[in-house]
Amino acid sequence: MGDSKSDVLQGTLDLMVLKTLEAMGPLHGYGIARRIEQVSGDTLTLNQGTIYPALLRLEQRGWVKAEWGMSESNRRAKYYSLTRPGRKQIESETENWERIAATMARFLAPSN
Amino acid sequence: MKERSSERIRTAISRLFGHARGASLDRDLDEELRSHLAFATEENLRRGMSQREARMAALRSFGNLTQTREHYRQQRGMPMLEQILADLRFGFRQLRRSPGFAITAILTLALGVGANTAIFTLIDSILLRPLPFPQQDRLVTLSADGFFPKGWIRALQQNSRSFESLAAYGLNAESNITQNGNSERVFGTQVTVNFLDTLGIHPEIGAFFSKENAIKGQDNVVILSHGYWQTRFAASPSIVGQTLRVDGISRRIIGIMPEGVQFPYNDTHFVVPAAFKGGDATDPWLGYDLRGLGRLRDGVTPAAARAELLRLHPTLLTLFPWRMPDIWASDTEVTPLLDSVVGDTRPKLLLLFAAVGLVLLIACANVANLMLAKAASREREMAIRGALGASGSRIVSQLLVESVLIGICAGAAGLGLAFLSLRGLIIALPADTPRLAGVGLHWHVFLFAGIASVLTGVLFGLVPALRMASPHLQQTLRSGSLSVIGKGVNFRVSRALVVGQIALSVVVITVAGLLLHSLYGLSHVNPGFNTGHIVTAEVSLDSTACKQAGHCQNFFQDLVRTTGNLSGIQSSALASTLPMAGDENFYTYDAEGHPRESREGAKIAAGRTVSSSYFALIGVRLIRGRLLNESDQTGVSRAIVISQHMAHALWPKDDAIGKHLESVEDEPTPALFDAKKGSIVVGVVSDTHHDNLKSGFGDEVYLPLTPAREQSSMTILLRSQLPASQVAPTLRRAVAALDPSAPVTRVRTLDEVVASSVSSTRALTLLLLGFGALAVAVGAVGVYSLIAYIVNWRTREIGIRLALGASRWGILALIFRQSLLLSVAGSFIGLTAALASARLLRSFLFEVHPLDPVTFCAVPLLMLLLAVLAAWIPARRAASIDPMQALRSE
Repeated sequence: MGDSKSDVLQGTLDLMVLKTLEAMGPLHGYGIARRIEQVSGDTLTLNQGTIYPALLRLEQRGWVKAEWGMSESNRRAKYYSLTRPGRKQIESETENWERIAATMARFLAPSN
Repeated sequence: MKERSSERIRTAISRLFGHARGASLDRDLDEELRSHLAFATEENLRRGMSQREARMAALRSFGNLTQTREHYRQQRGMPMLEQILADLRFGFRQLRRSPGFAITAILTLALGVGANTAIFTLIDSILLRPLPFPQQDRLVTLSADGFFPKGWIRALQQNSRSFESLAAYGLNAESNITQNGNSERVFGTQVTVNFLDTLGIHPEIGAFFSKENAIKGQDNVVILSHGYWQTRFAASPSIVGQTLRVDGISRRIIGIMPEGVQFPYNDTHFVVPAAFKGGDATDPWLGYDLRGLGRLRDGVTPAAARAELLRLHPTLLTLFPWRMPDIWASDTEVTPLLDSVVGDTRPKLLLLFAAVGLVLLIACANVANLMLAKAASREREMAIRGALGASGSRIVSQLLVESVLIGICAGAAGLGLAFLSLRGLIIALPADTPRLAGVGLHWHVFLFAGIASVLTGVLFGLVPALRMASPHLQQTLRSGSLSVIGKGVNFRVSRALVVGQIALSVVVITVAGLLLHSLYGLSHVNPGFNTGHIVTAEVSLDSTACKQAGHCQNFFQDLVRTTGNLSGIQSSALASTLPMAGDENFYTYDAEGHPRESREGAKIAAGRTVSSSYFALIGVRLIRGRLLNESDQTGVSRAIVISQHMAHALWPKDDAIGKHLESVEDEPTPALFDAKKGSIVVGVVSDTHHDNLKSGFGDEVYLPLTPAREQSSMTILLRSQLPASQVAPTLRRAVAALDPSAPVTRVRTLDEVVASSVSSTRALTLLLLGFGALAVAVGAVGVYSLIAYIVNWRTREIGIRLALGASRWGILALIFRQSLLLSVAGSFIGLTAALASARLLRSFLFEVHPLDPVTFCAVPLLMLLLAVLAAWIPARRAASIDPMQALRSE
């Protein structure tokens, strides 16, 4: 594992999944995992399997819903999509993250 | 991400479902993961990898498949629940592996839980379950020392504001019900017309009383109980509107009570209306035979209602057409209906409940000791678990699940035992126990058994679990096997548990012993009359038969004469009531030399109208003067006989013979004593315990069977060497010869009458003795198993002692001393506890001091004897140990 890659921070995966679904619409688990890897520019080490407990967690909270459907390659797959509370959750979590990121940035900025 | 509470609930629910649908969700996940890998493989193939490479790469980038599944399952289900289920499975395997332990533990506890569940069933059915009336908590009874006339009830109805509705009911009286020429004796009572409506019940069919039924002349109606309607009229609806002869009066059946109503009395089968004679000012105030039943207004407490009644009392007293004594009805109590139905059964049931509670504790201690013994052999297992990283709380919870499992098995078995023993228990209780017919297993009982068994499991599991959770890890793992004396096992806790068991058993049997001593005392009380070889029975004419003056008197005089001459019958006598039968008549009187003001109450004695042969037959001795004779029955002599106790109380210095008494019923105006009209005391006779064996001697008056005192129903007493079963048909034939329609009921010996007067004490004592025996048996098993275990554990030590020259007697003494010490300590603590609680028992005891020396000496002796018995087998084994074998065995 290269030094340039980092582990997914606890709690960030959920927001990534939600954001992916917001951008892409209904998507199956593999699609979500690939999309996160692509967006992060392959800087994250994502064991694709970890996406499934995360998806279940989001489903249990009512932020996403899951349905079995058919892919373009005619394969049965479980498709996840955002629910209305899920969209709201993205808003509030995004705000939250921006605040944390800004705070962190201030800490990390070279002191003068 | 933070969860809001609503989301937390959502998560919990979906987890719960996730748990329940485990298998199908597992398939779901597997399919999803398969499709994931297929997508990845497809993409890799497109990139030009070989089939094998593509699949491997897909798996690699997926990560650990098993771990993903495990995480997913954890997220989906309830880890706690799964852990408990795993513990349960493990617990079951543990129990199956040591069936001897499991069966002993479960049986011991099942006895405890079963006894508790059975007694709780009684408590639930008798004390706790609401009566079958709507808003029954607002129903109250109004009672005083004596009964009310119907005018008084009417006055309360008109003036009191505490009640939504106020009614009254009469005495439980047997009547002749005649249909098609056949008479049978049936219990019924008279009630005010609003009585059934006050209860809040509705007729099964037909109607209840209307207001008009309270007027004399329109009161010839009757309402039957559901049970009587079913047994006697096969539940035929066409019975409504037909007529029935009740005590010679034709009454129209207007309705049937709903099922389950056993009120006012357990055996009330019909009710008739209490009616007022129109235009008669004194009629409402005659006949003191009613008790009040009220439905309180919303928010009014029984105490508030009572206060109001007492406030009204002086004003309402003036409504009587004559001056009533001030104290009359001034002691009126307002009691919640359920309390007055239950009566004095409550303390008895609670006493039994306390006793079985102690039995359960003893059983718990026993099983805790078994667990401890077993724990010793599992010490290494627990140490290894600890070494592998199981936390203390994890081990405690696993052990607790095991013990709760035993508790639940025992609870199920105990519930079965309770169910099986319930019938026997109902038979053991005296027949007059209230609400006995409604005793059954309701959901409360199942809830109780469930809670009791889980609590029991926690109770006996906690001590061993806590001890096991903190083993000295390294020590245990290091020590290979047994050393000289088993180390690591400390018998201190076990000893304390056994001492506790003995102490609790001592408490239970001390209580049982005190009651037994009371019962023994009661059975040796001389009632003051002969009870052997006397058969009694009630013979009843229609109550209207006496309207024809002299008819009843002639009938009974003929009856006593003819029965006295029958073969096998030595003598025959009549009495209005039997002593100790619980239905005394009161003789309210004024006595010569005891003037009173009209506001004072008159004197009261037990009055018994008897034939002249009564005294000789029952063995009441003449002390002064003469007995009643045949000629007194004309009424001319105005003769009466009184008891010695009464003579002494009334005229301590003078001779009672020739003194006058006058019944207040014969006084033209109350408290106006007229010696010329009063009865004359002609004799003084020996005292009897006429009320019950517990009460002291009271005032008794014997009255001759004069025309003025004739009555439709009397008790006949026959002295005969023949058994009751042979006397009864002879008597029935004799009665039928005089009047074929007169029923003969309640045939029993006088011995039975006296015995049944102490039946409730006897039942309580027997049940307590049974539970005491159970407690002692379980306690003794506890002592035995501990001693046996200690002997087993010390085999090597004893072997060494013997090898070094200790005598076998010395070893025997060693073991017995262990057992006796436990017993002495337990008895001491138990007796101290019994001493402290004995005062609570005072009301249950008869002529036995709560600190009765007999009981308090017998109990510890019994416990010492048991200690010797329990140690017998282990001690003999210890003494017969072969030193060579004991030392060789590792």
